[in-house]
Amino acid sequence: MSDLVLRNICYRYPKTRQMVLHEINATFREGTVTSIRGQSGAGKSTLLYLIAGIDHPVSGQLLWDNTPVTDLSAYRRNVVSIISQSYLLFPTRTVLENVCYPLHLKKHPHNEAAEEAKQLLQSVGIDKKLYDRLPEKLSGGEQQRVAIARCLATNSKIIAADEPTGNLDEENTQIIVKLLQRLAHKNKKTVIVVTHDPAVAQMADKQLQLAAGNLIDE
Amino acid sequence: MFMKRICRKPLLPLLLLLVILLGVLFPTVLNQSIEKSYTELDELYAGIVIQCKLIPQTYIGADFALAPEIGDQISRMDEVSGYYCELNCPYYFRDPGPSSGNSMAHGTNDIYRFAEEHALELCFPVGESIDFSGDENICVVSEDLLDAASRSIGDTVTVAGSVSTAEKDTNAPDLNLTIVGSFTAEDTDIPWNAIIVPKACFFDTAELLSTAEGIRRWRVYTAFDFTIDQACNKEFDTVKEALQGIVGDKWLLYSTSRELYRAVQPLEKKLQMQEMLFRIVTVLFVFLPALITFLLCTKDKNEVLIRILYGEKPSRVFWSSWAPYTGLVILYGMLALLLSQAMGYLNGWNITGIVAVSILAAGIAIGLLCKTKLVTLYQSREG
Repeated sequence: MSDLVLRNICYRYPKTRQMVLHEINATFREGTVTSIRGQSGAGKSTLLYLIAGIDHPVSGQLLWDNTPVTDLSAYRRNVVSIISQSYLLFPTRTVLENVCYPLHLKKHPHNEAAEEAKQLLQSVGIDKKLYDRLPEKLSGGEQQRVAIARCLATNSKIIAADEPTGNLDEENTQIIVKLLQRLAHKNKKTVIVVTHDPAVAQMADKQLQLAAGNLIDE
Repeated sequence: MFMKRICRKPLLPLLLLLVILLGVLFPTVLNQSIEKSYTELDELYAGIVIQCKLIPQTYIGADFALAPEIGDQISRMDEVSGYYCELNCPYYFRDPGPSSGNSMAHGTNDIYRFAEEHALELCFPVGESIDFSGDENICVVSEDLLDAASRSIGDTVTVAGSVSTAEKDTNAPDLNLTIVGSFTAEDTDIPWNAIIVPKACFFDTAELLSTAEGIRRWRVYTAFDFTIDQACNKEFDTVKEALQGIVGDKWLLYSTSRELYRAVQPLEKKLQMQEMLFRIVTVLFVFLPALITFLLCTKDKNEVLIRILYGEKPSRVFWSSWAPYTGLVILYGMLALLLSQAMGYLNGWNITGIVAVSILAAGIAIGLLCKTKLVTLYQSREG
């Protein structure tokens, strides 16, 4: 079983030199959804950046599969995917091209990649007629589902979701939360969700609270 | 994929194409206008005749008359295209001659203008014309003098320079002149016993009109005007300086150059403005496409961010993003080149400048994105 382990992770903001994370220790299990809540400025997004390999901790270690993560590019390429509040889709690529991108990156043949992308889009409930549209023509919920489909295409083991429902209404929030649960329970992904929404947090298998630089079980 | 993306958001790429084409079109049109103005200016310079005259600064004694050496030096200048002179000295008939005594010998390089200036009516043998610009020993005398000296046209007379109109210089050398024409006059300042000889008789032939002592103070110009070679009109200020250097400070060079300046100055000002505008437009249209290219590339922020987030190396993202923009700008540059050729004005440096600076701008924009710390780029993402 592959777990993501945070060991004595510390982080301080480079500009203010303020220590925001104090020796964080946590284990994120495969096949579970873990939510991280906290007040604004508590450092939840910062923690997610470290989990997603976007930034380095000041000290401490990130271990994947009992191995320290040193090459962040390779880690991002092979292990982790991020889902953002702003969906982070290529604005000038169609829905299908967005989902095909990670497959092309992994040298999948074009036809196969397109077929696989279509299946993934279908699995997250995207209508076929939307495949050739640009992301800006889709609703927020649809865009987030496309982003999730793209995460699935990468076959990443960890899904780091940064306020994934922040811009969505209740109905779309439910859809996205269910999708994330499905990713964890059915696809055996390690899903880590940073959210300020208690309703979203409660749907997680494990709920953590970030307060005063420390991560505690709720 | 790049071209697909360009086609999906074509506004800035089209604007870039438009600006690059304008960057060639405007300088081309301006350049044609400048060339036309230069042609007009050249025609204007060549079409105006600058008349010059030497005016004495003082009117006292010998200063009133121009020394022959000075006039001669000016007349030989390359920049002087046409001149007219009158000069004189006392002379007398050596043998045989009328008993009226001494008179004046008048020299000129243009007998017809001389006749016009002094209200003389010239008389030549039928069908002949006289050229006083050469160095032949010839003369034109009055009908009265012909009668008094018992001569007719075609005869020769011998004359000599004199000390003054009152005193003969018996030792002065002889000058034999062939009478080639005569004149009559009712109201003239030329006395009946004067002779008119080519200017060369005063200088080139044998200087026989010198006095016995070689004093030449009486050989003076009474009229001297000239024009500037129209090809030298543009350098008139330099020519003027050279002329003033020759005549010295006792003489003032009067010219009609003001007429020239009045004619050319508006066009020269227009030309200056056009050239300044040309420079501004050229520079502007080098940097404007660069600015648009920069903006176009910064629009790829999310593209760069996502690719790096998905584990692509920033250096790979940089090269693979920069190369298509380089190709696009080169393509636009080639279209501009075709337009430029079609318009008949090929400014390779202008097009090269536009293309090079735009490619550089694309490199800077994408380079800045790729060099930005990933977390900073992520936080500044567009959503």
